[in-house]
Amino acid sequence: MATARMTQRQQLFRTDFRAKVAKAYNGWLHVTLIAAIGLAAIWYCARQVTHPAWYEWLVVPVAFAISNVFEWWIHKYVMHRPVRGLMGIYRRHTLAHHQFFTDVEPTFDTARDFRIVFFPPYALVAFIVLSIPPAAILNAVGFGNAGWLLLVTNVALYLNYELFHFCCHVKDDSLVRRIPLVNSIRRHHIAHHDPVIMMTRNFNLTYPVADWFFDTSDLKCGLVSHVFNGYSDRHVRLK
Amino acid sequence: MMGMPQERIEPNYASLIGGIVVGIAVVGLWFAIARELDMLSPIVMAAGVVLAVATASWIRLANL
Repeated sequence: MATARMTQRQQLFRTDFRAKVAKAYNGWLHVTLIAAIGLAAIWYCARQVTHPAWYEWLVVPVAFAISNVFEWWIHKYVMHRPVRGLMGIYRRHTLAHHQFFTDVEPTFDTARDFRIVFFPPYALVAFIVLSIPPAAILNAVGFGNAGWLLLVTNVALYLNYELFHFCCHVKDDSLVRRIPLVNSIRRHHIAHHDPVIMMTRNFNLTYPVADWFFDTSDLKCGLVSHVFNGYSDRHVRLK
Repeated sequence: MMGMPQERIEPNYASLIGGIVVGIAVVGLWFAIARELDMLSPIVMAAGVVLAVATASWIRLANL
């Protein structure tokens, strides 16, 4: 992934955005808060799991599949579309994140730039709250362990999302380019930051399964090649 | 998208509501974990409330 000089427009946006970040903001505190809430929730929920039946573990792959499609759907239809009542998400993502990061310069410079990399902590809380009703239903019908496993899986996938997204925008890729799965999603996401395809391609940010399934990937190949593509551009479609 | 009006980073309203929501989540998790560890006492509860208020205040001040 060659780097070129960012446009004046991107440079100006970055300067303006950084000037507006509150003085009280601290990037590492932001990350710590997300990690602390997520890991504490996982720890608590995991402690409630007691001798689950084999079939209760099936909730893990099901939650993975649903979360993967949800991540794809919310990115495609909420983060890139002005939806009434959810305009804040559109503004923060399409009108800010995509101006700050382009395929030409997709990396952050300092920890204060975390402000535009990570979701605010209340997004994690909202995701946990959204996961509680299906977990409660599983509990009500006699699959209490499956309910707790669902919560563990969903929160873990949220942290997975944030970690992989960080890896997509970190400047020094000497490590992440060598890690399978992470290198694939980094190429996948940086390609998504190309304004030409950002509305139509590469909406997954963990594993590009839904992009492959719904044919919204910039690659033309099978699922395994998608997930383990790394930085290769061998299967990239013509724009 | 040239000529697009400059967007604000985030409305203050979001950081206010978001701070309160996260504060409630923090105190809820704190109490749940303290109970799980059989450490729920008035001092531990007070510490959880202080942590929650500090977290909510920071989210508001950081305009997160």
